[in-house]
Parts: sequence; structure tokens; C-alpha cells
Amino acid sequence: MASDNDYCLQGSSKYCIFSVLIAKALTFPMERKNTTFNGFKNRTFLAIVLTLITSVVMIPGMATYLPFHKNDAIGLPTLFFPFIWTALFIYSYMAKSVTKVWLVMATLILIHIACIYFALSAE
Amino acid sequence: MLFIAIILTTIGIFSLNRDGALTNKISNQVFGTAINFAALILFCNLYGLARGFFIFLAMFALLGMCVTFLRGYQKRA
Amino acid sequence: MKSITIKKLYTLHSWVGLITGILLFVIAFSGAVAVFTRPELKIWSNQEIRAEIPIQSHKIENTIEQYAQKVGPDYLEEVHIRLPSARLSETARVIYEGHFETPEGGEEHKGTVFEFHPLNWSLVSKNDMDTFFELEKYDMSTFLAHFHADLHLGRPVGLILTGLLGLTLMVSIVTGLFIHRKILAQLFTFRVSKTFSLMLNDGHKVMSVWAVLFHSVIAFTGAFLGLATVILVPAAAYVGFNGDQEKLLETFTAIKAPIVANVAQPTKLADIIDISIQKRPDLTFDNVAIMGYGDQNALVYISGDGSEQLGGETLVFHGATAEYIRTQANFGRLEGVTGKILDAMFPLHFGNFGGLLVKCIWAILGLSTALVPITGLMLWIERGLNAQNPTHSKRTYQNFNKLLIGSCGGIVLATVALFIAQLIFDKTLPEQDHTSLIFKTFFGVWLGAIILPFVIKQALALKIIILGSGLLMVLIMPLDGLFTGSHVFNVFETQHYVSVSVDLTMLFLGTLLLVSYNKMSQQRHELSTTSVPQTAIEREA
Repeated sequence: MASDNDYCLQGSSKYCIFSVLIAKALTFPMERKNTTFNGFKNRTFLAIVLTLITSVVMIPGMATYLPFHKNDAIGLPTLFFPFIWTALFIYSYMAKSVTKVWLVMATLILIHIACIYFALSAE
Repeated sequence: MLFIAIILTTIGIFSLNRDGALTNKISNQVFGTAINFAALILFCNLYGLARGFFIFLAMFALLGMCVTFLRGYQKRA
Repeated sequence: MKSITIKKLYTLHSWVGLITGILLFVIAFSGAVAVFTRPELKIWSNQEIRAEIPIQSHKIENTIEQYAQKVGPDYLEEVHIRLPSARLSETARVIYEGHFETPEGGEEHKGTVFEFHPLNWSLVSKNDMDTFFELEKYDMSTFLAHFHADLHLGRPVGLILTGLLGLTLMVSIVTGLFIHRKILAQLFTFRVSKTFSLMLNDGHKVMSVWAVLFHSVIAFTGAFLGLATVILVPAAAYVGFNGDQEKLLETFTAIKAPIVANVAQPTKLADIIDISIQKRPDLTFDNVAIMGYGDQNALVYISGDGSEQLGGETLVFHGATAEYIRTQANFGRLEGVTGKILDAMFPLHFGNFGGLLVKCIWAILGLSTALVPITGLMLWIERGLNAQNPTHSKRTYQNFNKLLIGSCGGIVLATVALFIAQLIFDKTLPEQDHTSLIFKTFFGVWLGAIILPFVIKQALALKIIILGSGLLMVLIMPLDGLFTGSHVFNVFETQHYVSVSVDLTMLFLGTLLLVSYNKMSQQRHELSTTSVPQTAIEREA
């Protein structure tokens, strides 16, 4: 347990969008280079922007293929949203390769946009 | 009945403790779980299944926290 | 699990905590107080509703009929009544609503809102529906409830922010569970006698782990409630309802409009209310919705809380005959599981499903949700100040500590100050709208408290904030007695049981805070005289 504590904020958060804002306000100096995450800028963009887009697009997308009653097919994706967002957010930072994260998110977005497109054009 | 349910939950939590850790003794674990299960049934009987379940979980969390904090202060005293 | 993975999770946990910690405390603390805003604090802050209010079914029926004549038949499609007996608002509110076609072919809802005195049903105000909801008046209880919901940043910005905080709390919980995965080995461990850092560490873990399910439920429901109207409903309506959000809400809503027969027949409201009370004495009825008022096919929905159903129940009646049709849950009547989950969502977040006991548990656990990020931040500061080779400069940690004291202590002080302010405004400016004064008091006190540690010694600032909060809490009871004449000695006469209980609770909490602070000061004094090392935070202070 004690060794876990040593990890506390070893990396710099100067690349994080939110951190920069807070850092300026607090004159928060960033003194070390990030050694924990590779492609930190990319990952932060993925975690903050693309995660939100993906999880939002997945709500109407999932409604088209979930094999439930209509109420559940529409309602359940909205209830899944917090879990999907959390999973994608953590995945953005934890995945070994940033490219893989990009690929996963892009695939999810494309598949769900296609589902939405076919569902709307079929009506 | 509510009072008994709270007491049972407290006893159940106490029996799960062994020197600040979750007990390793299977008999204590079984006893603690059984007592807590009895408390859960009492809560469900009082409040209905869904409400009783959530109230038990909340009570378990609250009492667990209280027991741990009080144990800490007691040890210091 | 690989150490690099744990390291990544730890870093992520720390960053999320650092960025959202203070805001999370603000939201969680205000949430712990907001548990009691309806009806306890509402009752406390409005003298007219401090005593119990009987349901006057015939008076209600007569008033509704009288004003229905005034508004005209176009506004009788929906009549919504907030019953004063539930004491959820300072007035009895009646909305007459009609649906009108727009030139573009759409539908527009227009209405008139009447507010009546809760006891004698005399008219207090009349407003256009849009104006009424735009110019919402706040007393301290409504202010606190709305502050928790959107921080008074307006909608949708405030809602999105609180929703996102729910999401980041979920991230903190998941990452925390992984990094403290061996926590069961220390489940009952809280070491007070060792170092301050260790105590913070133990406290952080104890509050996190024991209440992990509660934190998770609050994070999930908070994220859902914050983002539901802004992101989730529009997104869900996109495919299923071709973007028509109203249609989606109509499908999921519990109150359906009947097919109007256009045959006039009085709606037997008094009978319906009396039957409901007789039929379900376990429910506290708060709202009545009449669809198609005065029509042969009118439907009356009377909702109440207090039964075994998590999300409350609605009794449905035939308006013209007062014939009972069915009892339904809010969303639970829908096919599938979504409705049942949605019904559980609101009470699980607000803790209003099991009386005062559950509210108290929710408030205490809510305080633990607030304290978890604070202990985490304090731990970070403490370690930073103690470290041989810290990541940031000493000044950064000191400034962060000052911000922590000011913003978190300040929110407690500002909340308590609202109680005193409400009493003073009611006494000195009766019959006036106190909304702007409530805003100024709260944000003024909070801002002052944030600035305080930066202009005076932070130890002194902390002392002022804690002692100020404690003293104000203790003052509430005597001031209330002095200004309103309602106190513990005449409680059986006035029957102000709820408000006197609030006074007593605040007195107890204030005394507890002052005594605890005094005890802590003494201990600190003893430690300093026996030259035991102080905490890094204290040394820096």
C-alpha cells in the first residue's frame, strides 16, 4: 500500500486543458515532464472531447439495435451513458497505444452513426 | 423492529472485524454475513423489498464507518 | 496487476481529484444539506407553513372552479395543483394550462399561475406561466436546492457541470477501487495516534470504501439527472422519435391526457381528494393534475409519497364520477425495466423514500462523499510539503491549501449564514422578495471566506471560519425564537415541530463544532508544548 502512495502526481499536468486553466489561476507551476503516459496531449483530447462525442452518439445508435422492448431500447442507452463515458475515459489513459484508442473511438462513432443513418432512412 | 435491525447490522459489522482487517476466520465471516442478512430481511420487512434493500446498504455503510472511526479513537484513548 | 498500470491509475485518480476535488466538495456538501430542503427547510423558512396544514378538499374544489371560470375554457386542458398540506412550497399553487397551435403548425403551451395563501386560499399572486417560471423567487431552502442542482450557473451550463462532476466521481471511484484493491486488509483501520498524514490516508480510505456503493449511486444518479435534459433526452429522442423530445417525454410521462368529449360535467375534485386520503392513508399527497378539467372524460391524477414504492405513487380517477381507476408508479407503469430504474433514480439521489431516518443517513453519507475529495487533497498537500523533492513549489501547496480552506470552509459558513439571513430578512423586510438579498449574502460570505486565507494567516482564517460557522449555528435558535416567537418552550402550543427540530439540530451541530474545535485546539497546544512534530500543513500555516 505504501508504495502506491509514492506515485502521487509524479507527472506534470501541464498538457491537460483543465489543469492549465487551474494552474494559471493558482500559479500552479509544472516542473516535471510527464513520464507516466505517452502521447499525453492526444490522450487528454480523447478523454475529454472524443469520449463525450462517442458516448453521446452511442445513445441513439444503440437504440437501433438493442433487442429489447422499445421503451428499454431507448431508455437503457441513456442509463448506460455514465458507464460508457467512464469506461472510455479511463480507457483513453490506460490503453498502451494511443492509436488503438483513436481506432476504437472512431469505429464506435462510425458504426453508431451508420446505425442511426440506416434507422432514419428506413423510416 | 428498526432498532433490532440496526443492532443486528452493528453486531454483523463487529463480527467481521479482526484487528482492523476483515476477519480471515470462516466461522466469523459466515456469522457476520448471516447476522447482516437477518438485518436485511428485517429492513425489507419494514420498508418493502426495494426500499429495505437500499436502506440496509446505506445503514451498513454508515455503521461500518462509525465502527471504524470509533475503534480508531478508542485505541488512541 | 502490473505496477505501471497501478501507477497510471494512481496518477489519473490524483489528477481527477485535484481538478474536481474542491467543486466536488461544494456539490456534495450542498447536496447533503439539500436532502432536507423539501420540506424541512422549506417549512423552517416560511412561517405560514410551520404548523401542519389540513387538506380542505371543498375549499380547493371551490377555488379551482372559481378561477377556472376566470381563465376561460382554453386554459382548462391541464390544471396542476400543488397541495399546501405537503408543505413543499410557501403557497398553494394552481396552474391552468392550454395547448395552442403555432403559425408554424407546432404546439405551444400557455398558462396562468395563481398562488394562494396555504391556509385561507386567498389570492397571493397571478402570473403568466412563462413569467412565473422565469422569475422564480428564492428563499434559503429553494436557493440551496437549486445551488446543488446547477450552482446557480443557469441551465444548461450548470447542469452540464454538475453532470460532468458525477461522471468524474465515477472515474475516481473506479480508479480508486483498483489502486486500493487490497483495502479489505485494512477495512477497519483508522490510526489516529500516528501521523496526521496516516490519519488522513486512513480516513480517506475508510470513507471511500465503506460508502463506495453510496458514492457510486450518487455519482451515477447525479450524472444522469444533470445530463438528462441537456444531453441524454435529446440524444435518445433522435432516432426513436425523429428528434421530437416532447413526444418522447409524452411517451414516458405518467400523466396522459384523455380524449375530451366536449361535454361539460363538473370535476368532483373534493370527493376525489377525500377518497384518496381514505384509500391511502400511508401517502402524503402533494400534487394533483386534472386533464380536461370540467369535461365528461376528465382524468384526475393525485400523487403522493410515503408508500413502499420507491418513486411515489399516483392514484388515477375519473373526474366526473370520482371513480377510482388505478394506482400507477411514475415510470414503473411502462413495459420493460427502464421505467423501474427511472423511478428509483430520483429517490435514491434525494434520499426521500424512507422518512427522516433515511434523510439523515443520506445527509451523513453525503458529507462523507464531500470529505473524500477533501481528505485526498489534504493528503496531496501534506505529502507535497513533506516531500524531499516535491513536484511543485512550496508556495503552490500553500496557495492550494489556502484555496481549500477558503472555498470549502466558506461554503459551510455561507450555508449557515443563509439561516440567519433568512430570519433577519423575514423580520426586517416582510412581504418582500428576498431573492437578491439571499444571493448577495451567500456569495458575499463565500467570496469573503475564499479571500480571507490569502489576506490573513491561514490558521487564523480557518479559526474564524470554523468558529463563525459554529457561533452562527448556535445563534439560529435564539434568533428564531426572538423574531418569530416560535421556540422549544411553546412548541406544543404552536405545533411548529419541524422548524423547532431544525433549530435544535442546528444548535446541536453548532455546539458540536465549537466543542470539537476547542478540543482540537487543546490537543494541538499539548502537542506543541511536548514538542511532538506538527503536521506539515500546520507548520506552513
